[in-house]
Amino acid sequence: MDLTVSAEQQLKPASGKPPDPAAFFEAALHVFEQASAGRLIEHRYRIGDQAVLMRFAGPAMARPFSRAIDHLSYPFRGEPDLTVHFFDDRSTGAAMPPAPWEPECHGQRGVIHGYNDDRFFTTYEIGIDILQMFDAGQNRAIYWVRDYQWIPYWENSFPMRSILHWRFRKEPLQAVHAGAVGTATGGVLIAGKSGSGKSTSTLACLTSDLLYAGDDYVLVDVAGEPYVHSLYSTAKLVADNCDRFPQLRPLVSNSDKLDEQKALIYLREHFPSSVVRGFPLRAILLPRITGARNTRVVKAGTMDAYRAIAPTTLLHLTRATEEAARKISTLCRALPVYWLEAGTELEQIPQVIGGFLRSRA
Amino acid sequence: MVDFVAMRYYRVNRPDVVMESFEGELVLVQMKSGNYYSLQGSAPLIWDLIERGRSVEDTGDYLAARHQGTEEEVRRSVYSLVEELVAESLIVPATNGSAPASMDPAGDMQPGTPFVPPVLERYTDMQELLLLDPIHDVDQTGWPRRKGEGES
Repeated sequence: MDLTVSAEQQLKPASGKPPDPAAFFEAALHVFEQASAGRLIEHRYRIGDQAVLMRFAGPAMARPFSRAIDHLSYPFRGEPDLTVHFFDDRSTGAAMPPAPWEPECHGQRGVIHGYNDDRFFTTYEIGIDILQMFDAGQNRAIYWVRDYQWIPYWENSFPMRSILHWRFRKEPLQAVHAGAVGTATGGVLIAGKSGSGKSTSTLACLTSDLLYAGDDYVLVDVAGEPYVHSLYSTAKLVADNCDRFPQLRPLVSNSDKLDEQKALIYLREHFPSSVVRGFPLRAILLPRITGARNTRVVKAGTMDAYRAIAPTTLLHLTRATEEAARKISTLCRALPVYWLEAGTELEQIPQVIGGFLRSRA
Repeated sequence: MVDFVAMRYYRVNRPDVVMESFEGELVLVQMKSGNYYSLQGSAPLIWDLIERGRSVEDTGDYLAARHQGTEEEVRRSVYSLVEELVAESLIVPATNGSAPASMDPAGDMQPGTPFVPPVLERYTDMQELLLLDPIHDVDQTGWPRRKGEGES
């Protein structure tokens, strides 16, 4: 399958005009200002060590998008490190200007050729019709959708994932496809691609004494001692995990749509004392399903961790570069790596992880 | 078939390829195809020599002079690996002599080392993340939609 975009396609200007991402960003921001007049909602958060301001043009997108990160709420004063503007046309009556690029400018993963450079990061995902644009020059971003009712459920589970990745690209922070559980003094990153047992292992810890920082995407700080920051307090369960964890079924927020969606649980709302902002990392655990009854921890290698984390993370995140790969590499080299051979007796998983952490304290 | 006579020099296909090396193994992620790769055996060394600006022929000479085994076997292994790397868009043709060919890789081995054939493992399980949907229209608001959407 040829997934490449030809050089001619990449360079084709829209309507014969050279791309002007700055002008388009300002035009879109102007629409936001009009749409939010008299109905602006602002939420403040600390994500990693960064102050993030989310501005909404009315309530339609405010609740679903803040629900996954409520646990990171932080009433900071002063200038934010990142400001994101959320709006849609339907609920506000706004009218976004037409896309200033030709259809041929749409590349892989929604990247708009001509509107991505050192300063601007732009994606438009056809099908879910979401525009995300980040201005690295002023640390501002736009998240626009034609109709808020079309926002897919998974966007609510990890709001701003791309924008945060773009904002943090020059920081020692890296979003990684992994979960994290532990204690206030230290925890483990649980990494693996879909089907590896990552979510099962993380969810199995929910009803234990272990704290929870995330089960799908977390933010790691690789400057000095590795530290994991929570990003989202959501859990997405595939059908198998709904069966494995029947106690979680009553907590599912979209139980009427499970024929077409994964089960989504807002964990902070049900496990408020378990969901935390983060903790220092002591090790990386790579789950693998053995079919055996008992769970155990077995030494693995740095390369195993990199292979479990890097491809899936780099391919998920739009415009991931060697900088991101290097941060993941730094993380993997800084921590001991173990296989978590997850047994069928799920309650053993938090016991084994807890014992493992105590042995390394 | 790659024309090794006409295209004897290659470079890493940056920025589409992201790579990282660990303990004798090299992991490559091809960001456009969604495939990722593990290079093992002598493959990381061959990659290193190519990246340093050696021609394919020179890389074969370098390895043949330092390893036990038939010269023919070593050369065939190098050519075969390079052919795979090109086919996977991990390396692309470069201008002849674009980098100094005299640079040897760190940890240069002594002559007589047993030759370990190069291994390129290919993983395609992430490819579905990158499926491109090129079929769309632009509606009256100037924004693209998939064909058939919003037509009722």
